Amino acid sequence: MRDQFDDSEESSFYGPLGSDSNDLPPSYDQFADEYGGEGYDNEEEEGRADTVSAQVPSDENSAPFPSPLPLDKAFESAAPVLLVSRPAQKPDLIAPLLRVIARAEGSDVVLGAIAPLHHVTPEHGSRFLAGCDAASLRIADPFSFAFFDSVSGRKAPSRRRWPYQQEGTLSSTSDEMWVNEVVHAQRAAGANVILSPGRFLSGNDSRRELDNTIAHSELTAEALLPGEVSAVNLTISIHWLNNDVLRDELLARINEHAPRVLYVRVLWNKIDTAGQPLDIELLRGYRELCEVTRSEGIALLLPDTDLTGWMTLAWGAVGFGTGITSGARAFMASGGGGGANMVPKERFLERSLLHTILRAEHFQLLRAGQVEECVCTYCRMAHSGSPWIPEIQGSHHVCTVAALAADTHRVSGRAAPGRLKAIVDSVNTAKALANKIVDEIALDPASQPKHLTPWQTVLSDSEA
Amino acid sequence: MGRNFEYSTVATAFGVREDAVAYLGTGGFGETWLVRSEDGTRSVYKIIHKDGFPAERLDREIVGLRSVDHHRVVKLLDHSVVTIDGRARPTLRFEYVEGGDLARARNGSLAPSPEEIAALLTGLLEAVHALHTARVVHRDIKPANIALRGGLLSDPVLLDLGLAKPLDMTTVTTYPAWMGTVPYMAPEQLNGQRASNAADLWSVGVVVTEIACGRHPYWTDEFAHDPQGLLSAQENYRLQLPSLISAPVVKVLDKLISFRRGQRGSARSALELLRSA
Repeated sequence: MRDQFDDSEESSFYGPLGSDSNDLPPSYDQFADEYGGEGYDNEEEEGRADTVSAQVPSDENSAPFPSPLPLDKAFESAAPVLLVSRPAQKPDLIAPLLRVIARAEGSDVVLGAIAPLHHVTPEHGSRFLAGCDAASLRIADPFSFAFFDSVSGRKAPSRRRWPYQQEGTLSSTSDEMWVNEVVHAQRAAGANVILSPGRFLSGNDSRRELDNTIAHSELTAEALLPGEVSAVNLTISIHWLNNDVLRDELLARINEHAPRVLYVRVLWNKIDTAGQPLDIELLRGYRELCEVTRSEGIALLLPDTDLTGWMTLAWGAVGFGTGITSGARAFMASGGGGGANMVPKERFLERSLLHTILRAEHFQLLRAGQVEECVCTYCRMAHSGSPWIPEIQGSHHVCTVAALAADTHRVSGRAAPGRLKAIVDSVNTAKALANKIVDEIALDPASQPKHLTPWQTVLSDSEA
Repeated sequence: MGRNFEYSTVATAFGVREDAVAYLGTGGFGETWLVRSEDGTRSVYKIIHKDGFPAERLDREIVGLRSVDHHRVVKLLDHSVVTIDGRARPTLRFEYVEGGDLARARNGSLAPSPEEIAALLTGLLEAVHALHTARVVHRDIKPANIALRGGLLSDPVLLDLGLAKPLDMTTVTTYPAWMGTVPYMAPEQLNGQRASNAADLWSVGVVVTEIACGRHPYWTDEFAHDPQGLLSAQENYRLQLPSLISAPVVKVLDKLISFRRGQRGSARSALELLRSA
C-alpha cells in the first residue's frame, strides 16, 4: 500500500543472487535506499502491508516530550547530536520516533531530522521537517552530487523535483544563482541548518574541488537568514580520509576556512550486510578529522554513519546520523542485498554486541542469559503481538542507537572529554561478549561483529 | 644582495637631505629605506627596484595590506611612484616601527624569559590571526621581518607582507637574497605547494622556538644545497624547549611545527589555547 507521501521508485539495484557466497538474502533493512526508492514495497509479504503499522500507540504518541533545544543552544550543548533521516517511504514514522527518543533520553541527546531533497517534493514543502517537533536540527540535504556528479556505484535519481536539480542549470546559471536555488529549496523544505550544495569530491583534482566547495559554502553563508546556521557540506570519496596526503590537504583547508559546522558524508567501500567499515586507515582518518575539528571548535556532523558514527563521538564528533533503513546507515559505493524476490531475514540491533544480528540469534542469547531484553517502545509493541515488520525493526534500531549515544554522554559525566573512555569500555565489553558466545552460539557470518577488532585498534591508538 | 640606489638619489627622490635617509636592506624585488621628512616624521619606503615587476601584482598586495588594520601588523600608509635615476619606481610607504628587528636582537645578547617567549608567541599569533582573517597570507615570516616596538620581545610587529615570495627551493636558489627565508619556510612551501595559512603558522613556530632555544631548531648551512636533507630534518625534528617554558606554549609550538600542515590548527585556536592557560 502506498500512502500519499510515498515517492518511492522501483528499485533497480536488487538483482538475482549471484554465486558469490557473500551475497546474502536481504534483511528487512536492506531496502533499496538508493536515491529513488526503498524496498519496503519490494519486501512486504502479501497481505501484510495494509494491516500492519509501526505507528506508536496514540496514548504514548500524545504524551509530552522535552522541548527541543533552540538551534544555537543545540550546538553549545555537550550532548551528542543524533540525526535521523527521512526514508523514501512512510516518512510519517519519523516524527513519533523522535518523540519516543526524546521522552526516553531527555537532554542527553540532541535530535535532528534530515530530509533528503530527492525524497521531498516542493508541493510537500516543509511538512516533514516541521512535523519533527522533537528535533532541534532540521536539515534538508540537497544531495547535489546525486544530480550532477558521477559517484562510483550509485545511480542518479530519476526525478528532479526542485529547480536546482534540473539538468542544464549548472551550465546556464552563475554559481551564485545556483547556490541561492539550493538554499531556497532547503528553506522551503523547512530546514534551519542550511547546507552548502555538497558536490562530490573525488580527490582527482583536490585543490580545485576544495576551492569550489569553499566558494559554494561562502555563497551559502551569505544567503543565510536570521535564526539559520550554515554548514559546509562535504561529500567525499574514501581517499580523502584513508590517504595521508589528501587528508592533510583537507584538514589544512578546514582549518583555514574554519566553518562553524561541518557536515561530512564519506563514500565507503561496500561493507557487509548490516556491518560497519573495517578499513583501519579510514577509521584513523575519521579520528584525525574529529580531533582537528574538535580542537578548532568546529561542530562535526557525520550523517549516514550509524554505529561507526557513534564511535567517532570518542574523538570529538558532535553528531552522527542513522535511520530506519540501511541507506541512512551507510553511504556506500554500491548497494547491498540480494534478489527482490527473496524473503528478508529478521534482524535485530543487539546493543550488547554493538552489531545487528538475526532476531533468532537475539532470542538465543536472551535464553542463554547473555543479553537483556530491549524495552524500547517498538520492542514492547512486538512483545505485545505486533509482528516484526521492517518499520519496527528500523525504529528499534534508531532507538537503540539513540540510547547508546545518550548513555555514552551520561557515563562520560556529560562532558565530551570522558567520551573516549566510555566508548572504549563499551567496545571492550561488546568484544568480550562476542568472544564469550562464539563457542556457545554459532552466529550467522553476517552476525559476527568483525568491526570490533579494528575499533579496538584505533581506539587504543587514541588512548596512547 | 647589495644596495641598488645611492643615498643622494633616494634623498633627491623624496625631497629631503641626504642625512635624512637611511638604508635598511634589499630584498628580491624591493629596497627599503628609512626617510625622515621635513616635519620629523619617519616612514619606511619600500622601493621596487626590479624592472618589470607586474603592476597588477603590486595592486593585489596593496589591497591585501590595506585590508589589515591591527597594531601587530605594520601599517601601509600609502603607495605612489617615485622617480629614481630617471625611472619611475612603484613605492610603498609604511609606518616606522622603532626598536629594531628580531634578527638584530637575536644576533645580540638575547636571553628571553619564559614570559617574554609567551608574549612573543602571542603577539605573532595575533598578527597572523589578523592577516588570516583578512585572507592575507604572509609567506615570509622570519626574524628580519619582525620589528620589536621599543625593542621589546613582548611587542612584535610583522613587517614586509606579501611582496614577491619565493615558492620553492628552485626559486630561492635563483635569488640568493631569499636564502634568509628558507630556514623558516614550511615543508609544503619547499615542495612548491601553495603557501597557505598553515605555512605562516609553521614560520611563527620556528621563529619562536629559535628565540627560546637560542639556536635554530633544525637548520644548518649545509641544507642550503640539500633540500631533501632539509625536508627530512623538518620531518624528524622533535621539539625540545627549555624546561621553564610554560606547558601551553610548549603545546602550541608543538602544533605549529607539525610537519603535516593539517595538524597545525589555526592562529585563532592557538591563541585560545594560550589565553585559556
